[in-house]
Amino acid sequence: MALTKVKGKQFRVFAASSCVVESQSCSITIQGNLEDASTQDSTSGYSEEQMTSKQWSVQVENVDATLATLRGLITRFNSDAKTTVGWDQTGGAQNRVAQNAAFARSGQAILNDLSIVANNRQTVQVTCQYQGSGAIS
Amino acid sequence: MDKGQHIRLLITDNSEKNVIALATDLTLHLSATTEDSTTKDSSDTNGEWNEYDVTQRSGDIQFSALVGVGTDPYSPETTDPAAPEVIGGLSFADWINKMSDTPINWKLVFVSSTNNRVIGKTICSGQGKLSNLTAQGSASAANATYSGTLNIFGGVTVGTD
Repeated sequence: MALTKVKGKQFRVFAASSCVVESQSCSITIQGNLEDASTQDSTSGYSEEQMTSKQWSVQVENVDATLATLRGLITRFNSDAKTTVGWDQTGGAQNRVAQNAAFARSGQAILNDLSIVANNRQTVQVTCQYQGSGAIS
Repeated sequence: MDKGQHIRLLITDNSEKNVIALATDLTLHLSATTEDSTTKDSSDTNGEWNEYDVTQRSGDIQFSALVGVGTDPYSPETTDPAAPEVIGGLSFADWINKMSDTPINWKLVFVSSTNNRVIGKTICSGQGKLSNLTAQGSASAANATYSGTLNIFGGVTVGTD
């Protein structure tokens, strides 16, 4: 079966099992940390990278800025508890229903960066960044 | 979605109860420092996932406003006692006096009604220290502006009202 393209609005982040509502964009980053393991035995002149560890993070921009959302995010930021964060293809009403796509993953994460921007005459912009902790599955 | 003018920074220091007069922009930024807490007890497999813990939290509030002179029409001295929920204005001159080691009590609140000066629900509150105040004039009729940074001191309390 041919691959079907997923639209940006259907690629969404879920936090604490709920779709992050009214977001304008989101991004996930999975990074492998490499170190050059080449030795004096190496003859090619190129580095020989070895993956020492991996990390992941999720960012969601311009989420819903209601009182309940803002309070909830600050409470989560203040807590040492980790939150289940993941991503999935969505569909259904308001593109909020998880479709269990093949690329869907989730894991435990820390809300480590939160910005609330309230500029005159502009929509309030809230950006959250989650630092993944441990494996995604 | 809510507009930026519906969220204001309220200063409640020394019994004052003021928002920033002629305010334009406002940003609350909270950041947590994390460290990888995996140890030598972890798997020997190359490319395992890092596991993070929070080591420190910090934050600041950045605000911008126009420089003004005169008396704020909503200053505490002129506020109608029958409408105490209407809050006064904090000017650039007031901010100059707040540059000290003494923490300032602040609240981030939803506001509404005339001039967006009527207090609504509290988003969060805490204490902060003014760490930067910058004002700018220009060789034109453009408004003089100023901006400031309030570094969060000791934590952020989520509103419960």
